Amino acid sequence: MDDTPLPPPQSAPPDPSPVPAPLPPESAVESSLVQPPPADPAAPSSLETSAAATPIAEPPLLPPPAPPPPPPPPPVHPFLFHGEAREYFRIWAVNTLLTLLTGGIFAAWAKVRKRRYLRSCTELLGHRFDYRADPRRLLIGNLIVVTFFLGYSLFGVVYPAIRYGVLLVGVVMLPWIVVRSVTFNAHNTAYRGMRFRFNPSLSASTMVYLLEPLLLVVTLGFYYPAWVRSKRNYLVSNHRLGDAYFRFNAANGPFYIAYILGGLILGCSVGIGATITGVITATMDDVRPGDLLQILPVLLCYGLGFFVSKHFIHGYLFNHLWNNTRLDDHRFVARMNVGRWLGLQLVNLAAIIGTAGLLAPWAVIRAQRYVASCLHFEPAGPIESIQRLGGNTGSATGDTAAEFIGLDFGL
Amino acid sequence: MNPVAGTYFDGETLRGVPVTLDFSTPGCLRIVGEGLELTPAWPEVAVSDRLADIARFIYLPGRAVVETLANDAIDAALRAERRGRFSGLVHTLEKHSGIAAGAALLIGLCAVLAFYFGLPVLSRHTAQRTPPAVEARIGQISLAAFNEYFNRSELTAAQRTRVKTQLERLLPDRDEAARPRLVFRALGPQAPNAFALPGNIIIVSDELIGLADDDELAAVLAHEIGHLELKHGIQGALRSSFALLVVSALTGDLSSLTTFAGSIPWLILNNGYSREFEREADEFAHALMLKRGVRLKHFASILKKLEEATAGPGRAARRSYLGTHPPTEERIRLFQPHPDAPKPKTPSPPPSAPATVTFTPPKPATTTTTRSEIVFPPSGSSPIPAPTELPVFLKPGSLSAYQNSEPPLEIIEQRRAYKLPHIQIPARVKKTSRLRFPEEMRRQKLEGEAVVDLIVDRYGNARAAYVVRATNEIFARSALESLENWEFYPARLDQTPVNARIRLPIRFTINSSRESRPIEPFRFTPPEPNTPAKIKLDDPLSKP
Repeated sequence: MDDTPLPPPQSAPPDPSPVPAPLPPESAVESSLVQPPPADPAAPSSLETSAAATPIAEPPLLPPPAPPPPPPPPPVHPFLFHGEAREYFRIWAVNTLLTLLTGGIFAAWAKVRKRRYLRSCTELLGHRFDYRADPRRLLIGNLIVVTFFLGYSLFGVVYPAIRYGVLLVGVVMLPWIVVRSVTFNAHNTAYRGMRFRFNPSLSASTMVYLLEPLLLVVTLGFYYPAWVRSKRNYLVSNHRLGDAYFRFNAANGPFYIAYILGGLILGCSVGIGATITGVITATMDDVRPGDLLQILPVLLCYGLGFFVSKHFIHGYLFNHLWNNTRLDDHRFVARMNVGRWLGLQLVNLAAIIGTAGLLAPWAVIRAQRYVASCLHFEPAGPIESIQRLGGNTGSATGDTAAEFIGLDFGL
Repeated sequence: MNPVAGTYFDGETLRGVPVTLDFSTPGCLRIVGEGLELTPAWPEVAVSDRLADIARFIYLPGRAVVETLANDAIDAALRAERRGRFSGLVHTLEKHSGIAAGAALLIGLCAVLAFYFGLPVLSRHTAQRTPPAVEARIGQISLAAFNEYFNRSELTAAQRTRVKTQLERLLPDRDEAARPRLVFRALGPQAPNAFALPGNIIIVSDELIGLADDDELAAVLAHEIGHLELKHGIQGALRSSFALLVVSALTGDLSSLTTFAGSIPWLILNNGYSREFEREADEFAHALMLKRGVRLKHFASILKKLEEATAGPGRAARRSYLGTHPPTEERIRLFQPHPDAPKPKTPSPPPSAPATVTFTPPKPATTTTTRSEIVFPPSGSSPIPAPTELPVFLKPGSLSAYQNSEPPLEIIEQRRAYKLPHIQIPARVKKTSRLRFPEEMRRQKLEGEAVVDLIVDRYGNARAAYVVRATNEIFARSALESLENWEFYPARLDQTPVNARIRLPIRFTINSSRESRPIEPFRFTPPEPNTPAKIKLDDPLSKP
């Protein structure tokens, strides 16, 4: 789902889903004030020495000092998700109906409300995330997209050349659209009053979205997992919270393993579907090729296989990606179980199909809750040290990244 | 109201200060915390909209933010300040489960309605309003695409003229430019067919011309003209993109399966649309053929021929729901020639007396009416004369002689129940009922005759009758209607009554001396092809 505040690593389709802001580090579990984190191995030993220093005045028979307790593990703070399916279903249903009744104009407000709900139900270290997008800006973005789409479909019927032209323009402009939408979402997400920021350099964007696809073509697709990693790196390492940087140093290997395994899953399922089709064709005589009944098993198996392999890749890479993401020196810890994730997604799929989409909100909440439960934040120090960018220089670059057009490609 | 707790962030660092919010002072908000006291006025402050029970944010001037979970208190304060009524509206709707359930139902209903009703209506309206230049362009492009796959035609000029003649016959009121453009292509063996492309183009295959005779060609062309007039090609294009749009909008939340699940319903729905189009074109062809004097049975016959020509092994028992075209039997049913349905043909020379007439009435059994008189021709009758003179306002060819060279299918079905002797035996009329002279014919002073082929069963009843020849369909209908009440002497074979098949000529004449008032001229309009009266017969007798 697109509305997750926690960035799931991107898998097979190169969708430009914006990376919702990763987490700021923080120190104590209690909200307010500054307490230096106890992750300091020096502390217990000082206690110990003080205990050892006193026995001179005491009776001599003392038990030997206890071995120093192992340093407490650095505190790992879980992400808490407070969303409820009932509430979300109500929001979703009413907003979808209003969107239909207003012919789609309310869609911007609906999207903002749904995102706000999901983000503001996510809590880290006692405080929640805030999504502040102005729906009017999204509306402008929507209108522009609708115009392009109408032009594409209506004129494309008559002049197919226009379709190719629009596709070409779209392909070239896609990086820019992705960057704009990620920037918009980052700027409008805040934690404890501080906004996130996405500010890539032009060269980095060009490299990832225009040049590396050429490499993809040259290597006949073998570069694809590395390209996914490169995109992820680009998205994560260009995000900032205040003056803190997000850093990414995941290795290539697991990406390749994930994609190879995913491809095997897809291949096996297509093979099964093709076998079923072959059996049907062999037992049925006088059947012309191309009948829908024959193709249906293949299509179903392909769809199912695609679904399973996509979520397998997602689950497999989740831990790898998050364990290698840092905010300055603060770390993330991910403990997702691929099997459980797959099962969850399959149940979601069955629920959505079985109820013709009515249980979609429940599925979203369920997935969000599980993802949040798998992710933890391990601060390496007080996170209050993070400051707002541009606070000292008074420059305008800090907060005026709000785009006039709220382009949002939340596919 | 009571002060509530929250956290104050100055936006410069991530440090938060626990504060209490006090709404008691009207006009401003008091924020009190450790080392912090702020009283911003309400107009300077922005508050995030109420949404379920999520954290609420109060945006203070500058970058400061107060985060709180006390939604109700803030709502009360906002109400007191008369703010946020509109933004609270959506939340009011979202609060109640009943509203949400109703919303979900409505959404489902809208989706279903839009899919099944809105889409066709919308595409039909849009297609009808396509500007001709756009349609011509569409035609060009589709023809170019079509041309890529098929070879040039190898028809002679004479064959092409055949088709053109039929087209002119169907659309005599249009000039060359307004008529559809005929394009001939060789579509390959076993593919006799014709396509209509938007932009007023009809593609005819060589194989079809080889397979069909002139009237059948006219039938096929009428069907394709129907596709063009109703703009099915453009509607199909519109529907394919709108369907995709709608399907992807509906399944937008299923981001994992959008690429796959979206196309399956589109496939099935598209097949449905296509069948609907074919049915509409069939009805159009039906009306056009009637109007222009093409016998409907030719459509049925060409359909049968086409099915045989394209039939490969194992085509039987195809589930029609998944096929693109309605099954041929359904379509043929629309076009089955019925003895009472008016099906004029171009005037043919007057038919000669049937060689199998065996009916010899003992004497002319007529019932005289005030206006008409029925005369049976003597045995070995002379040829039935053609109508003597037509009134001047009767357009020639509009009501032509009616003829069935073979019995209609349902008559054949009915006759199977009767066992007929292998020799011809006459049956004689015992009693006739009043034969009604058709009113329109009487007004036009048109006399006529009809030859009816029927089975007289062992009890002397008329069964399974159809009109072999008639002056026109009105007389034919009238003859069949009257026959219902007639009684016959059954044919006898060695004194045993048997079934017999006979042909019965019936003549309608006007006894002009009995005209009571002058006939005023009126404008002739061809009769509407209404549902003809069926002969009500009992269940077929069991086989003797």
